[in-house]
Amino acid sequence: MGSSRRARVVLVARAALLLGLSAPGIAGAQSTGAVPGGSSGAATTPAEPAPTAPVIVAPKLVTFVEAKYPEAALRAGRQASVLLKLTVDAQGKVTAVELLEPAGEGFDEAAVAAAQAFVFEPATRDGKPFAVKIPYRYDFKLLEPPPAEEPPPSTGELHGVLYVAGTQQPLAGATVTLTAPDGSRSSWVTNDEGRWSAATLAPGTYRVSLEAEGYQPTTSEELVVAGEAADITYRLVPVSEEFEVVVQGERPPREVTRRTLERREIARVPGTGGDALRSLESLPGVARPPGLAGLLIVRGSAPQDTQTFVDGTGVPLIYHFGGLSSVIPTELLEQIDFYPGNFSSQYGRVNGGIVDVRLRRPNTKCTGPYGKPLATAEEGCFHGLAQVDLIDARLMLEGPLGGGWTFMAAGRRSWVDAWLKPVLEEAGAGVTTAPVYYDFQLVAETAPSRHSRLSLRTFGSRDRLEVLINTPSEREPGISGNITFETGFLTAQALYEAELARSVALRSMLSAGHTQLTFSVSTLNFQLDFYPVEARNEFAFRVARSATLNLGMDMQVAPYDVYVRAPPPPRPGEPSPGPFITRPSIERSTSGTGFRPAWYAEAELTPTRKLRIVPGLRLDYARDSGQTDLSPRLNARYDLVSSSEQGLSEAEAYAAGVRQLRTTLKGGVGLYHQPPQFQETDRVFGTPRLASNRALHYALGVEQELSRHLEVGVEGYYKDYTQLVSAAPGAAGLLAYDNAGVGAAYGLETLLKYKPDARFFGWLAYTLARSVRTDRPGGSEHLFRFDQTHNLTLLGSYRLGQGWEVGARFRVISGNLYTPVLGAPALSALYAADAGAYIPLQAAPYSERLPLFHQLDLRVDKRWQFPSWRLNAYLDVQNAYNTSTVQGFDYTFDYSKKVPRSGLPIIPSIGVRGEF
Amino acid sequence: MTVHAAPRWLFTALAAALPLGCGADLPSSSSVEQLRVLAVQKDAPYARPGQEVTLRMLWTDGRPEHARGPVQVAWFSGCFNPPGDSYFGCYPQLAQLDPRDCVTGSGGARCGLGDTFTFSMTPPGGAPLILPQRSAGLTPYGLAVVFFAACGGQLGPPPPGGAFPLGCYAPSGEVVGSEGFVAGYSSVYAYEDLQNANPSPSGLLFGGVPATTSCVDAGCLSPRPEAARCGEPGVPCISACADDGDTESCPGVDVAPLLDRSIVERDSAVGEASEEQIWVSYFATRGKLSQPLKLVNDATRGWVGDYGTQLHAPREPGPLELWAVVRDNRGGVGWTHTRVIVQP
Repeated sequence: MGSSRRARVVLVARAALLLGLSAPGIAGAQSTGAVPGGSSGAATTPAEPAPTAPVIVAPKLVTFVEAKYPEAALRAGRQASVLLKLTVDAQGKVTAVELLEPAGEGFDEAAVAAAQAFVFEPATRDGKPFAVKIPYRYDFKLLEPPPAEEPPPSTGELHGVLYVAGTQQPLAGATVTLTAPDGSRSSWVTNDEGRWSAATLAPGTYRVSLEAEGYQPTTSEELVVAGEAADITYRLVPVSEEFEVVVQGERPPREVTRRTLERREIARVPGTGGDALRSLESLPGVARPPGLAGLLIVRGSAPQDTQTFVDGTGVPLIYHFGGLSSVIPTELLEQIDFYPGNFSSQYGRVNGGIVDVRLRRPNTKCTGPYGKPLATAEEGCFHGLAQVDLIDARLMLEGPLGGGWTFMAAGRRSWVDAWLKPVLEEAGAGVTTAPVYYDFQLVAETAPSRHSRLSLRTFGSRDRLEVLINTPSEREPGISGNITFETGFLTAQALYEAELARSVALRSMLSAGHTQLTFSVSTLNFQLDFYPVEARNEFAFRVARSATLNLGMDMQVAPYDVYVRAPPPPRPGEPSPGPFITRPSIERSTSGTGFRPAWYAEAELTPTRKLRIVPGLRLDYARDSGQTDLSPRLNARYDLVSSSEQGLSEAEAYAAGVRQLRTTLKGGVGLYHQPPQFQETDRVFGTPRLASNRALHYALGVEQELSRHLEVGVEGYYKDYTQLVSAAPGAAGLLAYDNAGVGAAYGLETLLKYKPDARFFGWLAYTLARSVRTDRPGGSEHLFRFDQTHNLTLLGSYRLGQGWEVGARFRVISGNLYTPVLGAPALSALYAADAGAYIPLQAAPYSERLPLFHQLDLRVDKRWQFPSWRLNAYLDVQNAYNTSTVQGFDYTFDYSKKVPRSGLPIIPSIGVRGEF
Repeated sequence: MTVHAAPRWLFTALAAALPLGCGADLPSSSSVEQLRVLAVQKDAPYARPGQEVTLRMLWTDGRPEHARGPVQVAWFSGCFNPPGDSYFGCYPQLAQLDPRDCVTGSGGARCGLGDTFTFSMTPPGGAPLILPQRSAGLTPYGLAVVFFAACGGQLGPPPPGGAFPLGCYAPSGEVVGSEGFVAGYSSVYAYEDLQNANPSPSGLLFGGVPATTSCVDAGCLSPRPEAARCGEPGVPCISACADDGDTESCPGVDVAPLLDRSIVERDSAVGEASEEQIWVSYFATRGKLSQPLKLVNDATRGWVGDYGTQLHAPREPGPLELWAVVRDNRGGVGWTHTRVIVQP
């Protein structure tokens, strides 16, 4: 929002006593008079009387009454001038008011009412009072007071422009309803340019509802900051097209690159089943995980180097059963922000990327038949959905709760167990508990005051599998018997946002939960109970119009209990020590409390309209490793060509037809620290007092708008890894760690994106990347196991009309690295006689690459709209042309021969959803 | 219709489809078609310091008749408590040993030839065998790693690129591949007090009847007499099948080792004691076994009654060799063998 738009709109009623005075029976009498002085007054000087004529003195206004500015006109920013004829009697009272030049829109009534209360010093003729009729022009004007006299702003403004989605056609006549934090509402109608404007708004979060006949209504929430005017562009989708609405109201990012996926994109990316986090794999910088693993591999980093949050709370387990679906269903998401690197100082403890999932607010908006918008913005209605597909079924309900609260409740349970259990039993496994997962989310929200918002949530997830396998594996006979796998978490979260003062905002989050991970097979056992308490508080101080200071705290306290019974892991650089089943296990039971507080300060500086600089500093402490890390960071964006000129907002620039295609340079450099994993500093399994892994992120890129919807971005990055935790043989046979590892990840990311419009969205993403590591001093540099050289994704989704939408995603990606087994004439495997299994003799780890991966995924959606509900069905086809891309190799029991193992064949998946 | 009411064929089809996305069918480990080491048995799976331990190898040459030749079985000892308890930690010592010395008998007590090998659980230089407690709850132990090689040719230095310090060569000098060369190791743990017995079977059940022709453990290492005729009590016989072991069309005969629950011991080496994990591996020179491995006893769930498998007959009449090797998770092993007559 441009500061030049900070026009403090005030009502000024300027009355003018015109040059014309008439007394009953005296035509052409000279008029004189004045209005009282003051900030809103103005006066006219009467003409001098003729010397031969009687001395007539015009009535003098002694009591001015300010007219009430018509509300609708005020909101619409309209001004007017009303010409009145006042009859002022000999006592100076106004006895009659006539309209000479009406202005309508409530101005006439307001002017008449005010004028009737005027009190004059009566006109005199040769010193004697007499009744006169005088013209009086009442001007209604919205004036901007001189800057020098401007009082400190205590209100803010919202301006918007509304377009038909997919076009630059302004949408006139739409109703815009603002719901203030205190629940009060006011409405506007967009003008011919699709514009509307709301002034003198108390700071706080407002709900903006937009409705227009023939278009799907939408709501969004906007933050009004005292002294600021926000310009927001909205687009409404015609009712006949689709139920979802694209809302864009971007705030300036603190990061070099923030990739945002909107709900429609998340839900419609082919090949993902509409899953929220799996859609991220189609973005630049995100590698395709090996096999079916549910891993996020960002810019050549390990999966554990990337953290996923739900509104600031870390999510320990983001996928059910290794990637089947993510634990937060798409229906509850507002959006996903993905930061592949150079992220803000508000995030830390990882060297890879950040995924911040934002839950949306409960929707209580009422709609008419067939989902059409109502004439008035009516709230208080319930909504819900039920969905079932081949994997799971889900329910959701949202609506008002009473007392100013709204709620949203959702739950999902897989029903794989219903059909997989008999299948597994047929395959020879005794199944106690077939694979089953469920998750739930509860959200309750309210606005405690005009300037605050409180959201209470609880969400959780659980996966469980228990099978009795009586046919041991040929390679690892220990994988047999009773196998139990159970993961889950339960989190309670409170989110509070408030405007504490005119220039101070607070965002606070507190969460507490329980994470559980249990795995046991034959003689192995691992149990982890983790009770993380997380707190985030950020104060944003607007210290000047071009400077905001963010001060924050990010704290983790995590009591934990761990029990491990397992053989020691392989020594670094050495082959597998053989099947675990015949090796003595180490047993370790430990409890403790992890404590990792952090503080950060970050400034958002906009010295010019085109330049935005975000320096930041973060201080981290990890009690488990005893390390304190200081991480300075600097990000900047510079608009070579702004989207608007002459201080116009983007909306105004569009309306004026002078919008430019934006060109932005961006870059950043920053230091990032990632503490060692808990087991790496454990007294038994690791080495205490390890230093944190360190990475220096560099990024430089350019964004270029090619059209209203088309944008291309190119960004290069370099990550310099130092003091990486590296394993070395320990004295007692266990691992010892140090910080001797170094490495680098670098690449070029290109994204050509067509932003969602009424019919289409899509993008072409290409990443060229390389990631290398050197584990030990003097050791050779090698490719990191998650290195992927090329990653090309082309996807798009198009609405055909009549409720049909089709989409496709095509990917061409370098094969993943794998560790080859030695072949003839060398011996391929050793026979571990105690277990009766072979151990492969392998070449260097991850030293060969699988063939190129390519795959086409298709998706077809169909929507039926009924009077009070709608039905959606989809068909999602993965690997549509049934390619048999090599995903790995299968070996004979003695590893002497291998055959390629192809990926999953063509997999159609169907689902239906009903919602109201 | 409930899912559970779905026809069995549907679940069978889905079960068959589970490996989709994997490679083509590969030979099962139960099919003996090359030189194979089936098991190595220690007379003391848990030894004591200084104790002499004898290892016996159960091997068979499943190569075609024309490809078979003399098989050289060699043993190499002398590695105690390698770093990380890994066989890999013994490579430096193994590399110093010239296998030809073992063949000529000049390798001393560290190596030997033949189906059995005896060595002492005594580290060189008077070093202690049992190391101090390595972690809380873990009973102190010592470890000896004994390597072995079964070579359908002549042992020699490793070929170029080899990751194991030995190689096997045909008389022509060509490297013998995995079809005629097996190298491996056996780990012998030593405790002051703990003991472990081999889970030896008492025979073999064939079609639910004890096979009178079966042998167990060391009794199977000496040449076996020809099987008696079919029709005699306890003589395992099976009719040839035109589809050569096809599990669908060739009738299966139940096969299982004769085991007594007393073979299950408590495993108290670490933390809370649990039962041993015990499983059985099946091998046959012809025909097909429906399951190559079956669980006998689970560490937490206990005895599994159904640990048998089925033998599906081959096409050609004649004898076939059948083994069941039983192992526990503490290095114990026992086996039983019988010859089965395939009738026309």
